[in-house]
Amino acid sequence: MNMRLIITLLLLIAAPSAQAVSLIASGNDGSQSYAKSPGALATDPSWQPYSAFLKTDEAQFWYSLKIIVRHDAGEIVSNPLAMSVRLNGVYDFYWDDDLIGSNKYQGKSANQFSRVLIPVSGLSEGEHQLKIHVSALGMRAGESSDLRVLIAPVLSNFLGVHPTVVSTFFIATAALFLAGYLIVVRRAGRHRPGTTAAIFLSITISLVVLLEEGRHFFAYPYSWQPMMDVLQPPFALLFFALLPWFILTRIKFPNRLWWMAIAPISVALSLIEIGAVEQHIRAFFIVSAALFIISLVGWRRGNNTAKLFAVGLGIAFIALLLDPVKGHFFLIVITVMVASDLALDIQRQSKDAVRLQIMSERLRADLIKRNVQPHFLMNSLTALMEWVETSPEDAVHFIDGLAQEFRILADFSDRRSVSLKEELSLCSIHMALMSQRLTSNLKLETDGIIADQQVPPALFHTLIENAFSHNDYRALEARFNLIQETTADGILFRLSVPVVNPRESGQNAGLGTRYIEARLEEFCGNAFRFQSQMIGSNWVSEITFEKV
Amino acid sequence: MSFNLLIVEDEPLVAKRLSRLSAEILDDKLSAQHSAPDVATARSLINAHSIDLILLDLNLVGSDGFDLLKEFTAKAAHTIIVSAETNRALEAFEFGVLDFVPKPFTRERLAKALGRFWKPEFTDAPATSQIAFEANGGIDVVSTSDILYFRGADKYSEAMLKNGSIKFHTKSLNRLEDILSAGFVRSHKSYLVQCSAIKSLRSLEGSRYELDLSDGNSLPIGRTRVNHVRHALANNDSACGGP
Repeated sequence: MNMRLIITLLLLIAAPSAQAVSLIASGNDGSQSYAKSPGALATDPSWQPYSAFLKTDEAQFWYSLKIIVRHDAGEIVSNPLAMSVRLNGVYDFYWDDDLIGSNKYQGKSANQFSRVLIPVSGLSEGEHQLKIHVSALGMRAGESSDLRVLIAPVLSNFLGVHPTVVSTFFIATAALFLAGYLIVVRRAGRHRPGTTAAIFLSITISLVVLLEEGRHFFAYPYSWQPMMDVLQPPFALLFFALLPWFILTRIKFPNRLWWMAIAPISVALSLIEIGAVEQHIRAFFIVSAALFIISLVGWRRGNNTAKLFAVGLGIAFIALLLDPVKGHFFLIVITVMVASDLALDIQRQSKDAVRLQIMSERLRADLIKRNVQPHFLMNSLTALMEWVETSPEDAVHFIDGLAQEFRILADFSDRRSVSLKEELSLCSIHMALMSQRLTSNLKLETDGIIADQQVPPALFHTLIENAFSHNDYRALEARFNLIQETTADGILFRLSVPVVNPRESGQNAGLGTRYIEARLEEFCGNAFRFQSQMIGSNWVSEITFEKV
Repeated sequence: MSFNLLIVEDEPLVAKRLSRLSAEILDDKLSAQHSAPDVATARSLINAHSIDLILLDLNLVGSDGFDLLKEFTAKAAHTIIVSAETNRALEAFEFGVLDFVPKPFTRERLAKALGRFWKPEFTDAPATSQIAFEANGGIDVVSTSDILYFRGADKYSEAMLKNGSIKFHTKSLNRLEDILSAGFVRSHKSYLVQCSAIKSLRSLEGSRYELDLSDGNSLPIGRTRVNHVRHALANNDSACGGP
């Protein structure tokens, strides 16, 4: 449902209708109850409460009102007259002795809020009688039935419910749906910064609204109400903490904890008596204004997420000014804003996932291609031809090593990670082959290696290939060194290779480096560091898998 | 005719194979054989010895194959590429190499390539379209279509370009003729002329002949080469140095 539709819907529900009749309340027979004077009907169409203090919990009351219906000249009545009823009990409404409405609940609970329609057929000009039968079911002695009957706009009869009910239903459903979706997203491993805050924020919004307005939805024992009244403030406070936390997290605002002072300040300011604005509405104003300014700062710094929040909070701010249903529109905008931001983020993540998938396929192709890389393969075959003609035993030994390397690379090509043991096996075989081809004695020494540690396939193999591409290891005895360490940042691998007659193109350039970076990104997202530098007479490459 | 061979190859086993097979194939034609594992060594060997033929790997560690191609084809010696990068064969022939031997290679294939030193055959090879010149410590590459003619100057040559400039090449006219057999005609022992630059063949008194060129200049034609030039001009593209 888009926003335009929501706005239209709310305006339709809230629009006052032409009154087909004038109601004049003329009396009742309940003790300590009274009706509003007819003179004030034009400005405030509600009756004052009928208060009946119960002497026993079996008490029953009858209210009787004489109502004079007057039509304007030439007026044709086409709509029923709606009455909004609030009552802690079970009621039956009779219009001229015809039953026109009942909350029909039996047992220990009843809807506190409901509506009764006076049918068009009963709205003839003249005197009518409205009788209300109240059973104080579920109440205890000494409590008030607190009956309130209001004239309700006919157009607000949207599916037979009050507009508050519609917006409550929308917010609660949307927020819970959002929370559920985000939980699924999180469990699917697509956690984004702020997802957890958004889950709790959505649940909190739905709980705040349901605790406040849920009585429109559900019938529950009256005894639950005090408990629900107690629960409301903590969840409201949670809302004022989670909304800033979510927004500050999403726009990656520095010193987030310091900025969280917005929450208590907003609530504290809302407690100061200013005019007639309700406390929670003032708190909404303050917190959304503060977050709006923060978002503008982020927007100015080029943060697109902050731009979305600035726009969303701006709309939410206006919604507070225009909202006819006490902050519901504000909460709807906030919910939509949170959902939109995370949806856009997840969309970006999905695009990244597709890109990673493409990259993964390309990396796989690269690895397969490496099996038939011309420089390595053709030089090896040329060397083999020479051995076949001059030293067949060397040829057999080389072919055996070549076959092992190809077999491992073929196995690696379908995998996103391999154990360090497998990776080192590949490296050793490659170094043995190159040693034979270059008439050298090259070995890979290791320290602190955890054999089961998972790494991207051909990670160190590529670094070692790079070393052979950029150094002259002919007729040389040399040691390569690989160390694994667990640091405060994560797991560090340090590969050190001797530099011999280094080439001008540099050690850290080319396809090999790009392959490694792409593999690392595929393996652990952005949670890695890869750097290479000359240390002494060695070229040292460091790869860190950062703690997430 | 014996000659000096230079093998530029950084793979020990491949260099060993080239050396062994070349010695076997060339036998007494080979007066000296040198081996360089890198470009710097190759340069110093070329400066120190009169190298006639270079067997060059395009994938020397740390070197760009294109730069190697330009640098070594600008030398006086002929060049045969021995490389795994067969996708560079066309580019190599355009720079005027004698042959491109893909790795791995057999004795027969290497023998065929070495044989082209004496008898260039370009039945299936792309025509040379670019000539590299050593100039001011660097390499200038000129399209063959921009050259009017080459003039022999002792062991070297001078290229007369359509824009009027002259470029010096360390290759002899004979070696240039080997690699420019398509599109050029040897009209005189001292001239190798671009066919498309010839406007007409003119006879002079005393059975002398001249070629009138598109830039207004004239070049003499050797008496023994008149028929060859006439044939080349009559058949233009195919006969003018073509197969």
